[in-house]
Amino acid sequence: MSANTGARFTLLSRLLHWSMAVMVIAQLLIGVTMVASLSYYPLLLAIHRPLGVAILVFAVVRLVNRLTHHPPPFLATMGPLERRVATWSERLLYVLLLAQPLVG
Amino acid sequence: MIPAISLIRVCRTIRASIIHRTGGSTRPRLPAGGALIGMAAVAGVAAVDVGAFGYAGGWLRPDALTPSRFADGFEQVYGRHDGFRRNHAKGLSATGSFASNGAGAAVCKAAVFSAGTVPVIGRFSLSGGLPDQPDKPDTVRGLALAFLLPNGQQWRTAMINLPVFPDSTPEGFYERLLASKPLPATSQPDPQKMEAFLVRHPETAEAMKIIKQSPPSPGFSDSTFHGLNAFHATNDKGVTVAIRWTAVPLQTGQPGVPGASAGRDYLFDALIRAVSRAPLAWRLVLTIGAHEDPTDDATKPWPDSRPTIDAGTISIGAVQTEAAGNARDINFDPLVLPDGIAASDDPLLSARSAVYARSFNRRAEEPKRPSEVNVSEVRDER
Repeated sequence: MSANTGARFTLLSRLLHWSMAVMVIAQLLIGVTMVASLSYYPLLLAIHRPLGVAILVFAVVRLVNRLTHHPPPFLATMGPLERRVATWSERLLYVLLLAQPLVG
Repeated sequence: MIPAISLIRVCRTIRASIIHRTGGSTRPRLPAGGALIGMAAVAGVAAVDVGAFGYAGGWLRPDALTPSRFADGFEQVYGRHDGFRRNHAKGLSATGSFASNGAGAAVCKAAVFSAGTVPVIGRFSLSGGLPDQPDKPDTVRGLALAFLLPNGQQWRTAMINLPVFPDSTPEGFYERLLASKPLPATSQPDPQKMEAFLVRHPETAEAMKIIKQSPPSPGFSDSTFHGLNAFHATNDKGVTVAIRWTAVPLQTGQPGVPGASAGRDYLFDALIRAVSRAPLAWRLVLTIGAHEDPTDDATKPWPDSRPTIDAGTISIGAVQTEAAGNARDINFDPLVLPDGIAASDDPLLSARSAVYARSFNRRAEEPKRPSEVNVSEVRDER
C-alpha cells in the first residue's frame, strides 16, 4: 500500500490474495478456453475441476483469515462513499469466491 | 471476477480524481497524474483481460471450429429440435447387463473385465439430428452403452454399425455434415458439394469404399456395432496396448424385420418386439492393435489378423421409451472411462466429448417432447 501508511496486510493475507488472484484468473481463462476448444476440452476440464475445489478451499481459509484479522485502515484519501463501495465490493467478492466454485 | 476487481479499482481511482479536481474535501488528495496513470493501467489490464477472453472463447476467431459452432452445424442441417440430441436424435432407451468372462483382464485391469456381471444402460439410435425421421435401412445405427461398475466408475461408449468411421478429424466431420445437407428440391445432398468434399478428404473416400463392402444387416438386433476409436488398455502388470472394441450380435437371421413399408419406425418396432420375446445379446470383442496400427485415425481399419479377445456378453433384456431418468438423459461421452482404459491420440475423442457436452447442455435447458419411438404403442399393436 502507500508509503504514508505504516500498516500492511499480513504475509498470510498477501499470500492468499495473490495466490488466489493467479488461480481465479487462470481458472477463468481455462473455463472460457475449455468450452470453446474441441481438442483441449478434456484436458482443461481435468484441470478446471480440481482447481475449482482448490479455489473454494482457499476462499474458506481466506474468509476465516479475514474474520480473525483486521486489515489495515482505509487510505486517508478515500471518501465515505468510496469506503462504502470498497466494503461492499469486498463482501461481494467473498460471496462470489465461495459461490462460483459451488455452482461450477 | 476480473471485471469486478477492475471496476472497484476504476471506481476508487475515478472518485479520487474527481475529489481532487473539485477540491470537495479537506482530505489528503491524490495527485492528478497518479490518478490518470492508475486509470490507464486499470483500463489496460481490463482491455487485455477482455481480449484474452474474446480470443480464448472464440468470439474473436469467427472461423474457429468450437463445440458451439459444431452443434450449430447440426442445427443448420437438421433444424433445431428442442430437447433432443443434436445427432442420433431418434432413439430408444434400453437396460441389461454385461457378463464378463474375465478374459479381458489379460489386457485391461478395469473392473468391468473381471469375471462377473455389471448392469448396463443402453440406447439404440439412428444417426442424424431428426428425432422423428423415418427408419431407413442405410441410415447409420447406433448402440450406446454405459457400464455401471461396482466401484462407482462408469464406462460409456457410443458405437455405430459402420466398420470404419468416415472422418479422421473433427474438421472433416463438420465439413461433411454441412456438405450432406439435403437440397430442398431433391431432398438429397448437393452432389457437387459432396464430390468437392471427397476430393479434399481422400481419407473419407477410402473409408466409404470400406463401408460399402459391408452393407447393413436387416435390423438392429443383428447389427454389429463398432467403437471405432482406438483406446489404450492397461492391465494389472502395467502393460499398455491399443484396443478397439466391437459388439458382435449373437442373434442373426432374425425373423420379424419387415421392409421399410412396415412403417415409419419399422427398425425400432422390430427391435422392441424382439426384446419382448427374448433378451438380445452381443459378444464384446476387444481387438488388440500392433505397434504400427494407427490409433489416431478411425477411418483406417486394423488388419483382420490382429488378435481379439471375447470379453463377455452384453445382454439387453428390456427397452423403454425415452423418458426422464433413462438413457435419454445420459451423455454417452466417450471419455467417461474406468481406470484401465484411457483415450488414445485420436482427435475425434476429445471433439466428441466437447460437442456431446454442448449438445447435452443445450437439450437439458430445452422443453421436452415425447420421443417418436414409443414402446407401449408397439406392445399394444400385438
